[in-house]
Amino acid sequence: MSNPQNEQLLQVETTCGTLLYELQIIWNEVGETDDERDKMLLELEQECLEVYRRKVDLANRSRAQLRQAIADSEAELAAICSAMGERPVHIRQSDQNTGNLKAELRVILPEIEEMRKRKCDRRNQFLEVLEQIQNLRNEIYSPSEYTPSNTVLDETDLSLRKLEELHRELQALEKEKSDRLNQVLDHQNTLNSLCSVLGIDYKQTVTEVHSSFGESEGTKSITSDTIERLATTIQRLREVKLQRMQRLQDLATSMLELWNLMDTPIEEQQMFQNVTCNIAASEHEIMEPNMLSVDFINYVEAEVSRLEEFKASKMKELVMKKRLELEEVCRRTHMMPESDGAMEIAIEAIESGAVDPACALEEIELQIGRVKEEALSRKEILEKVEKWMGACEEECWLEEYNRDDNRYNAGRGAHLTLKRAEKARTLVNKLPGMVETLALKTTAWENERGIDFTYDGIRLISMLEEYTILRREKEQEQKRQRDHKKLQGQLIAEQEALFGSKPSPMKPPQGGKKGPRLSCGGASNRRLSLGGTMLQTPKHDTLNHSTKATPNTRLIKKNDRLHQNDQLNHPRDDHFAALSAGRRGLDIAGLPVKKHSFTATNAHEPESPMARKPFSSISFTESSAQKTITSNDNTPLTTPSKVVFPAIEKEEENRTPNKVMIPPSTPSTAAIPMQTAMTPAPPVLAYCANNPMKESPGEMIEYSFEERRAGFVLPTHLKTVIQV
Amino acid sequence: MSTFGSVNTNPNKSTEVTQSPSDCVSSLTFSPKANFLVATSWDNQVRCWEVMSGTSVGSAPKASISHDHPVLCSTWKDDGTTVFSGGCDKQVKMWPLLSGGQPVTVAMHDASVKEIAWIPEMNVLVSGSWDKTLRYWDLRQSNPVHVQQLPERCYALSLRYPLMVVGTADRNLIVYNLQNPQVEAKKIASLLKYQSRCVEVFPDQQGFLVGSIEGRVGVHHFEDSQQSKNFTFQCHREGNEIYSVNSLNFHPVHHTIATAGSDGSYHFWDKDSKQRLKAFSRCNQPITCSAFNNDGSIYAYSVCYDWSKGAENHNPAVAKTNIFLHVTQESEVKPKPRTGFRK
Repeated sequence: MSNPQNEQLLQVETTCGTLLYELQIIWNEVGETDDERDKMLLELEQECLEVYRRKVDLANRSRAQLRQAIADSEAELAAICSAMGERPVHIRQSDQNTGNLKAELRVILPEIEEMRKRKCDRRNQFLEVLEQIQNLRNEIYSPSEYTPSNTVLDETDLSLRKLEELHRELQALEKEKSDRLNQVLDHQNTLNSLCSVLGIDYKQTVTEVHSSFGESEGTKSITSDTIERLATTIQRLREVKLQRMQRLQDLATSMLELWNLMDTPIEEQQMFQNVTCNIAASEHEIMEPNMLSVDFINYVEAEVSRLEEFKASKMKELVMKKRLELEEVCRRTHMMPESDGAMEIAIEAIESGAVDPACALEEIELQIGRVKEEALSRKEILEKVEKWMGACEEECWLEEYNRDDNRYNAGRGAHLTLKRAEKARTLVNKLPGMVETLALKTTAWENERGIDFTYDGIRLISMLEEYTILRREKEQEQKRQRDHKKLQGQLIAEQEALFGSKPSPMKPPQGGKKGPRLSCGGASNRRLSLGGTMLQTPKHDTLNHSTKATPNTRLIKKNDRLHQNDQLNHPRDDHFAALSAGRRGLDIAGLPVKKHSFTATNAHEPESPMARKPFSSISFTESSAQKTITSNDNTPLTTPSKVVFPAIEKEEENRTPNKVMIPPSTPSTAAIPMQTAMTPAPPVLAYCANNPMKESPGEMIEYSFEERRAGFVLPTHLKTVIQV
Repeated sequence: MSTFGSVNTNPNKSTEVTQSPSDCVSSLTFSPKANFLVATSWDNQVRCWEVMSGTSVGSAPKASISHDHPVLCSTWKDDGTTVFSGGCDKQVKMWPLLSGGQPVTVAMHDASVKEIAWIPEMNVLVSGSWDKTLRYWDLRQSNPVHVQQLPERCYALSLRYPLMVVGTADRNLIVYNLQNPQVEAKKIASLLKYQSRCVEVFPDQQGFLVGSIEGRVGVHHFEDSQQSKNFTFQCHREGNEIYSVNSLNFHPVHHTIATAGSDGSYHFWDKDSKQRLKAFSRCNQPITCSAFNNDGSIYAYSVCYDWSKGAENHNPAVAKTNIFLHVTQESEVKPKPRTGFRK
């Protein structure tokens, strides 16, 4: 291989040799001394050495530089790798030391370039993420709460792990941002609806919270501070809403009351239908725009005050109306309204201004409430009273009908009348039971409430009692008439025997009976007609009418009321007199005084002086004579079975021993004689011998629980007997 | 005493009988014809209630009589008209309840009468006493038609004609064939090692049950060929606590068993499938006696102190006597097909 340098060196060597040769030639020519020559040569050699040394130093220096460069590069590489969290790759290569320094450097340099590039990329990624984080933080947190902790890039840690961490943080922040955005949106919606209901400008409200909300475009503030302010605003508005709602509902309530009170026409009401329909609405149900605006509430308020004024002007009218309502309720339930004068007094008081009309109205309303309540409790009994009265009417009719001699004559509608009579008879049979249950119910009611049950001012119990007495008397009368008829029959028979001719059957002397019914059969006074037929006394003075008080209907005319109240005292007096007379009569008859109630209908009871009948003077002695006869002879026939029953029941209840006694020794049921079934065996004494007692005297004797309790001890003599 | 308005304290929600006796109940018997319940008690009383069943069970006191001493046993005549009761006054009284008659003494013993039974097929009353005799009474005669000596005091008696089983002290169990009452048909050694407390003949008359004070019931069969089917089972035990079996009853329709014990509980069993059908909660005091009504729809039981722990454990101040009525459910008393394997 031909190396140009070597050739150069060869040339140099050649040149040196030739130069030396030239020099010697020159010296020879010059004739230099050897010393001079040696000196020159030494000089030459020294200069050469100097040049060499300089070159070596230079080379040495450049080598050191090269090494330094390599070391630096390696160090940088390592630093980058560590920052990026990667394993340094080339170190192993340097250990192997494959080539010279320059080669080594050549290997490292691209690597380091590569790493630098990568680091730069990584750094940019970091910066990007960090910037995003920073932005989000700025958006979310107000400067006060902002913490600049890890938003600055840390050059020493650019690892993927760190990057991931930052990404996660970024995501969290993004999520928080979207959450907050939603929250803000929610709040805005709520606020919007609240504002619309309350009639407040939404835009203004929302701008007050944060200026960014005012604009339709652009980012909206989502800082905690803003959200909190939004929430407080909502809270404030909600409170306002609640207050206004309460106010509106109060107004609606009073409005309804006023409408109701004054019968406001529907058209007028229609205008405020949207107010009253919300009377019981809850907060979230009221969503209509401007429903709770100040203007609207004022508007409603104005209407209410208008109505109030109107009402004040109509108060008198209202009081009258309420009063009528009260009376209507009373009338329907046959209660006596409180004194009529009260009404006039109230109206006068209102007119004179002594009483607040509202108070009076309230008072009346309270009364109505009380009366309604009482009416409810009376309902059941009243229904029964209606039935009873209906039955009484039928009874009257039936009686009249029975007296009609032409009743069986076939005429128009006769079959209907027959039917009615049939029905009426069954009904009349039920009457005593009806009265009895009614009395029981009424007594229970009175006991429960501690007040009398009045029917149009008359105590129902006394009405019932009166009715019972009258009924009893009527029965008496009927019986008496029957007897009378019989007597007459006998007389007729005697007369027939005497005179041979039969006079036309004499009409019972109660021909005038129709009188009372006709004379006082005013449609309004049912009780009079009832009493009239029972009494069969044609008396016409009003005082006497009322004494016959059986159920009466309410007198419609107010004028009558006072008048009637006067009358009302009398029936009781008479009634008690009748009762005591009845009692006396019983004593005379020598019968034991039974429980004196209307339930115990007693055929023997004599007529009371109450029934002032045309025949009383004649029949009194006769009937008493009759009475004794019946009580002596006809008892089993005439005595109602009811009188007998209690005694029997009583006996059964008590199980009096003397009633049925089975002789113990001869039971009648024992049919099969014992002897046939078996023969009596002799006393088994041998048995014991076969089975000696198990327990020896020393042994504990077993006792059952019962024996222990009864204190039973096995008798020793018995034991010894057995042991024998 | 009325349960109305008051809280039902019974753990099994059984209905309390109104006007319970003032002292422990010694026997409970239902009329074979109607829902009349008779209880005898240590306060010398024999009381009768009418039990109303329907949507809910109830009771109404009907009548009562008294003896001179505590009453220990009672039984009804088969026609449901008459009740017999016997006790520590050493006599048996006949009480023609339905006719409202007065009680009369129909039987006498030398000691307390512990058990009585009416034998409709013979029209005879049998009474067992602590004087170690059984006496047969024709009610028309003042003397017993037959006196049967027992090896020991009579403690329990059960009768399904013609079979009668008598349990006595010393764990003797004697079987009589009433067609020949003078002879012991069989004397059986009890399967149980402790005092016999109650016996009950199977409805099919193939055997009988015996309950002991040691919380165990023995199931005996009469036939020698069926001896292998005999077994005993434990009941009325709570851990190491062992209580007496005080009462045994067969359900009149399903023929399942009811046991009641000093632990205050009662259980329904099926002996054929060897199953317990239903266990009930314990009452605060022992159950002394119990009875099914004639159709088995009501199970009456009395809760009171049974003297199982002697007088020292009796506190008269707090001891209360109650009779309860349990309305049985079909599922409780109907035998179930065998599910588990037990031999």
